[in-house]
Amino acid sequence: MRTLHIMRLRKGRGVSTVLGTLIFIGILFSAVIPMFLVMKQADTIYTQKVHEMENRDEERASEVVEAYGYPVNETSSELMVRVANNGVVPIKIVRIWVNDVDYSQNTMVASLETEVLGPFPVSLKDGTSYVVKVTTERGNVFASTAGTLYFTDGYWFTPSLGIHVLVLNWVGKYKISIYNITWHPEGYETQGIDFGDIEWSQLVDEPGGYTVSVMKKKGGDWVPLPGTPIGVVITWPGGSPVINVIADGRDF
Amino acid sequence: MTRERRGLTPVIATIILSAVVIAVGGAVWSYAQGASIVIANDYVNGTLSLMKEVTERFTVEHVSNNSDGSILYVWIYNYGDVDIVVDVYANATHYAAPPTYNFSSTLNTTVVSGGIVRIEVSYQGNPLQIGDEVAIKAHSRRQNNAYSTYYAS
Repeated sequence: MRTLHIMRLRKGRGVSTVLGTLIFIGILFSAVIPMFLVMKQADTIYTQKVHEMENRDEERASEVVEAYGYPVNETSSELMVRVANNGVVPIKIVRIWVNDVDYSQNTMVASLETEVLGPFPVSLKDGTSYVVKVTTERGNVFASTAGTLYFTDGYWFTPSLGIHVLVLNWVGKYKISIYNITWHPEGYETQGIDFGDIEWSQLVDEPGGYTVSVMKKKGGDWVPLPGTPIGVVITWPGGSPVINVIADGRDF
Repeated sequence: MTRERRGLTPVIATIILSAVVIAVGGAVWSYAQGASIVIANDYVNGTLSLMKEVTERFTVEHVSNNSDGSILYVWIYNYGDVDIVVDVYANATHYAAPPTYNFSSTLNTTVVSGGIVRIEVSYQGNPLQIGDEVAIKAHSRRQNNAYSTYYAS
């Protein structure tokens, strides 16, 4: 009799334990686990966004743009802007600034490509400087490499004309020269084996035709890179005061 | 007879105990669910807010001043994915002897994503003179900053 009584009591306790366990498991699966899943999902979205923004910041930092503002002709009230994308990512030009006036743009410039934008009307005032700037969609602002344009006595002036050479390179020794029929300056030669791209600029005295030669040392001989020597013409005003030449020496 | 009567009590006790367990358990379950929803919502809202903070991107794109130097114009470009509210602070140093300092601010300007806004910062005291250095700070309400230095012209 006594044993039977104890067994009955145990049966009663067992029901509550089972119910308590079921409720605990129910709470675990219907409240706690979904809560953690939602939190985990939010964390995942956040981490994804952080990585996305890091990539965008890297792309922004890798933008390399050279912009040149120049008048259509010596007395023109319109400016043209030549934009050279020397970086590895395509860029989108969203604005051109001429002093405090901005002109909305929507122009894509692919990597290593050049676009000419304009004409942009400017109000000419004697003795005034004009600063040209280019804004990209990623928030970079590039001022005109040619410097400030200056308008006085009814004519435009710019500080300098030049040719800028970019050699895409993994490894090698190079010799760059820029010349024309009457003018043959010394040029530039890398001091040793260079790793990475090489840039060099040469100022020239006057607009006109020039030849750009880029040679690479191969087995003791100087060999011209494919596409060079190449003729370029500086037509400022009416064209950019600075000419970009890009030569590829990577697989050569 | 006695055995049958005695047998009822454990059954009733079990039923009552089970009912109490179910009632208390249900209450705890309900509370736990409500609490977990509140905690999850708070966490998600906090994370989304933090996400907006890290995705905010803006820059001082251009600066100029008016001819008498009483107003500074600051163009803020929002190139991020979220709208921003910025406060612009400008601290000018006049290099004429003795040097003087002038501080101004314009608060609470909204710049939508991808947009540009010109913000006017007025100088009530000494106007800007040519060559004055102006340190500009654009501060967003999500605690991000963009800086620029401008020389009055």
